[in-house]
Amino acid sequence: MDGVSVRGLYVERGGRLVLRGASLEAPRGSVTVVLGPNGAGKTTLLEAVAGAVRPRAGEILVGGRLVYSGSRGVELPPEERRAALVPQDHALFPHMTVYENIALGPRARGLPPGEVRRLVHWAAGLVGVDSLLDRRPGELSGGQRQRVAIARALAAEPEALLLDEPFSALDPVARKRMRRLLPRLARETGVAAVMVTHSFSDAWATGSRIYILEDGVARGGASPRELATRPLRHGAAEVLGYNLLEARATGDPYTVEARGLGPLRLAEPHGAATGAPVLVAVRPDDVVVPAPPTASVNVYTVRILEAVVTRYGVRLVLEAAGGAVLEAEAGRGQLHAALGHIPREGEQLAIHIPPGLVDAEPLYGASRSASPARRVGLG
Amino acid sequence: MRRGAAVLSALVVASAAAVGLLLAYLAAWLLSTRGPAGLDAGLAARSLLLSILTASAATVAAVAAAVPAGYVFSRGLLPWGRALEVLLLLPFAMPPVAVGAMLLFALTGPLRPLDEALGIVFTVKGLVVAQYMVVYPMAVRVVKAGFDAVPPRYEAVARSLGCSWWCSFTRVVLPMARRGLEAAAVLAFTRSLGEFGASAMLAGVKPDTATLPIAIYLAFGGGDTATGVALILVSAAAAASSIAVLQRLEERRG
Repeated sequence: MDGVSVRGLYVERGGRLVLRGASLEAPRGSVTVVLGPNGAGKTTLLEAVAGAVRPRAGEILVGGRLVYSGSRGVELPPEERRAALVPQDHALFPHMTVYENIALGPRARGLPPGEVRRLVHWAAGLVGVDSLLDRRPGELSGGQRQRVAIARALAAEPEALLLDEPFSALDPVARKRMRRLLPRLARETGVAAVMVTHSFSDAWATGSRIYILEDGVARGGASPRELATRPLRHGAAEVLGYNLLEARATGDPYTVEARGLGPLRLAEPHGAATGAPVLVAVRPDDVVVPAPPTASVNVYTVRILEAVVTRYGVRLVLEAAGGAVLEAEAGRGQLHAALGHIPREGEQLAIHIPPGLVDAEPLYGASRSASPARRVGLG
Repeated sequence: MRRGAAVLSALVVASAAAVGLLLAYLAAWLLSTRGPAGLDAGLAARSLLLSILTASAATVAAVAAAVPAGYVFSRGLLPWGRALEVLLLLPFAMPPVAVGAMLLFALTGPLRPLDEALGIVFTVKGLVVAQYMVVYPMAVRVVKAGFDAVPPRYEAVARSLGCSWWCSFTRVVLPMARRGLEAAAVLAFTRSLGEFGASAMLAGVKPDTATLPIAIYLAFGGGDTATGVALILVSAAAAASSIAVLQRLEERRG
């Protein structure tokens, strides 16, 4: 496949195995996001692709070309990989003007001056920094520096654009602009953009494919929609903050018995034998609080253990009569309209879990569900 | 807090004033004793020129040699880097006269063929070698600090853009570490100007190898106190110029 392929990558740093068999596919012309907490090895992954760190094992292909293979003894130097890095702090060269920064890649490749000039103006025009070419990096805002760093990378005409937390230092306006810009740039230039971030919102706003990097392994590799609706299949439910419930399949293919909660109706068959364990994931903001009068299934009486008013609404920790603990998020307006007040700790109310918003996977047996069991330590 | 700052400031002013007063006293003594007409201007000019030439040569050589060493130590490229660093920096911490004696011992012993070919011992070349040996470790430390100030990711970025190692080193790393190199050059030059112990051992204490410090020693040893004092004032002026350049560099950095 063109773009970037990482297969079974192991990288050790400071005596610690940071990547443990990480694999991902980043196609050309789109932004692939690697989402993970700080220290998960996201930067290491990019640096390994760029050739700045040496892996212990695995394979890396850039633009269909093998640039590293532990088993076949292939290791191309960074300058031959066509994988341009855009680090978190931009790393613009302070002794050069914006023009010289962007021209470094074309000049390093020995292109004639006219071609260098053309590439610089093309890349600067793409990201809208053509009016800044005479400036020094110290004279630029954070957003401008970010765009110059991307233009510098694009001017090198890479196969892969490796972006390390590109939005972390941007103000909200520049952030919004970059979220729109990155996918467009990838589309227009055909580059395979790999962006690492710890921000869910940045990942969902930018990526056409999202991986979750945890414990040195990349899981997911699905579209944002697929990942949000089928998190168990991609081993992402826990990282994404879903409620995870253990359940048992019943004779009815559309119903499971959730431990501590009761019968839980599904929109799709659970695919497990009667009595077999099934894992269930429910997004906190998919829990309807309070249950609407029209709801006939998946209605449960719960007690509020915790009610925290957040910037966007109210986060509730709920305990069902059977002992299951769930998190729910609801808008303040929605709660006020339905209850006449914002609920408090100790209150009892009924909640509803819409069957169409429940993700369920058999814990054992079905091949696609090997990961959910391990994710919650039940495997 | 203000009182504390005032006390500290007073201490600094008093220390600076002590040096200034000492120099002023020497100048006044010199004028009252002999007057400017009575001084051997030729000796002062010769020793100043020799000092500047030898210090310049030693500085260029030391900083040039400090670049690879500083880079290697900064990036931790050698497995036994710290042990090697100790060996390399040893002459900086040793008494200069011991360094000079060591060189003399080597060049009149196992390295005699080298001395016979190049003519180092008791010559002007010996001055350069002695000064180089004393200032090189310091240059390595300062140049290393210059490279430390350039995070390795700048190199990684340059190389990911298509730069070879040499291209990234010359176009990105060296220019970004320039301030460190400049500071190393000024410090090495300043230190070379005042170097006495190693120079005296390797080049000898004689008129044809008399840099400013050696000339001062010769003057006082020969009982010509006035010439000695005059040379002290010349060396103070030369040192002040070097320090002023260093301050300019620091201001630019700030």
